[in-house]
Amino acid sequence: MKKILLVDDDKFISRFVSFRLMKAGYAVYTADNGIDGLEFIKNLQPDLVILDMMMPGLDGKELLDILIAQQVFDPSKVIVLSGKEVTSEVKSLFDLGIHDYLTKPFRVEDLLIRIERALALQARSNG
Amino acid sequence: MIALEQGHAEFLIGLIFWSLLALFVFLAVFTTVRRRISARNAASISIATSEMEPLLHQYLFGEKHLTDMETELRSRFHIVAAFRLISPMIDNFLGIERERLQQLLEIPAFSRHFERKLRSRRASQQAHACVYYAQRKTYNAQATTVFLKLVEHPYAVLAYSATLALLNHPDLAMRRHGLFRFLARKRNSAMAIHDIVVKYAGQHPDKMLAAQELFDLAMHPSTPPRSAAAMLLLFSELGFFHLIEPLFDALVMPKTKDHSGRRLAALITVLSEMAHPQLLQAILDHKWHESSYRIVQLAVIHAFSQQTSHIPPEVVDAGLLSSDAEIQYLATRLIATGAG
Repeated sequence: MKKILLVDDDKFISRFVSFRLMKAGYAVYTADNGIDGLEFIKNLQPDLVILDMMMPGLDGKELLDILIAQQVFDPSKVIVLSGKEVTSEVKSLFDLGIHDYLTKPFRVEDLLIRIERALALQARSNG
Repeated sequence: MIALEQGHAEFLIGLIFWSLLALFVFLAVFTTVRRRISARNAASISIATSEMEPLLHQYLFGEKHLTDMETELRSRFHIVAAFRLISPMIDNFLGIERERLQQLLEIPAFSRHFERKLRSRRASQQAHACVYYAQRKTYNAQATTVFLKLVEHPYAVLAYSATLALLNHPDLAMRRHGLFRFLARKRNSAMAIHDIVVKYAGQHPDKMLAAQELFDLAMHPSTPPRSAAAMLLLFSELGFFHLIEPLFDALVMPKTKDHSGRRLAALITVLSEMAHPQLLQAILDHKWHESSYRIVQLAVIHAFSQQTSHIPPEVVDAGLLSSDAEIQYLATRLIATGAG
């Protein structure tokens, strides 16, 4: 079963999305802040991370920078969720190597499709 | 005679003492009771939240119907708890989830609860009601006069939520009126302006016209610079790239006096986000890197670091000579990355 980590400070949203993903057959883990998210990523090595950008404390961008600097996780396994779509921000995130970017509000179905596509691409590149 | 006056004074002192003691006891009892009621209400809402959340998930997964949910909203605590769960979900989701959540808000238990809150004299209660009306799909025409009044309320949260509610009005002219009145307020937060402008533009039937209206409004002298700047900073997010040249013209040939540097800084930032090819030269020509406004200097440094790796020495020098620590730091970082 593929492991997905959801890092989002809104616990109600996070719980609903995680139930939806579980129903789709994934093993879902959640973290409600960047620091816990970092620990989960290091220990769990999930197949995919859904990362919210706007979080108190360590935000999504900072977490991503740490992952890259410490080389503990491949950013191409990250789908970013963000409250705003600023071209320069999106570009800088893709420059960091993220797999995909989704703006809030979003369709849960869209997220599922992007997850499936990301995991399929990973499977193909792993041979 | 003296004894009588002394007796009178003692009586007065006694009266004041007992009155103060009674007032103190009353306030202590009142505060304790109020705190207990608040704690009990919070506990009841917490229990109701834990009951409503799984039900809401079942409803969204299609395992429960609207009528099932109606019977579950059996107390005001359940209504409050359900709304606290539904509200952020409506903000975050689109599609079938949002539609089903909005259908849920049409349940009479919700409308009765929030109609009462809208009639309340307490601004916080009215703000809750406005948030409800802002998230409902069906517009409550009877509440328009209340919303219009509240758009200008001094309590910022109430003005913000009333404007969001008014933006659901079926008539575009009324929505525009609400937007103009809200943006004319002097003390609006950038986040509030973001939500309102995004909602207005999103509901406009003609996106090009919406862009032009927002541009004209941002450039209008009567729009407070704080509101104008917050609006301009959204243009890239809203995809108003066709306005890149009018925005550049407004930058180099301003028709509105800018006494705070806010409009100028916002124009530099948005044109940098849109990657206008002549922006950096215009900054150098107008010497905006030497601006006395901190926000303008910050916008200039960010624009240069985003657009080019060849940052002119005069820009770096101006940053290093700034009295602002953040600008000095950014300028130093530019040197570290090989600029200047």
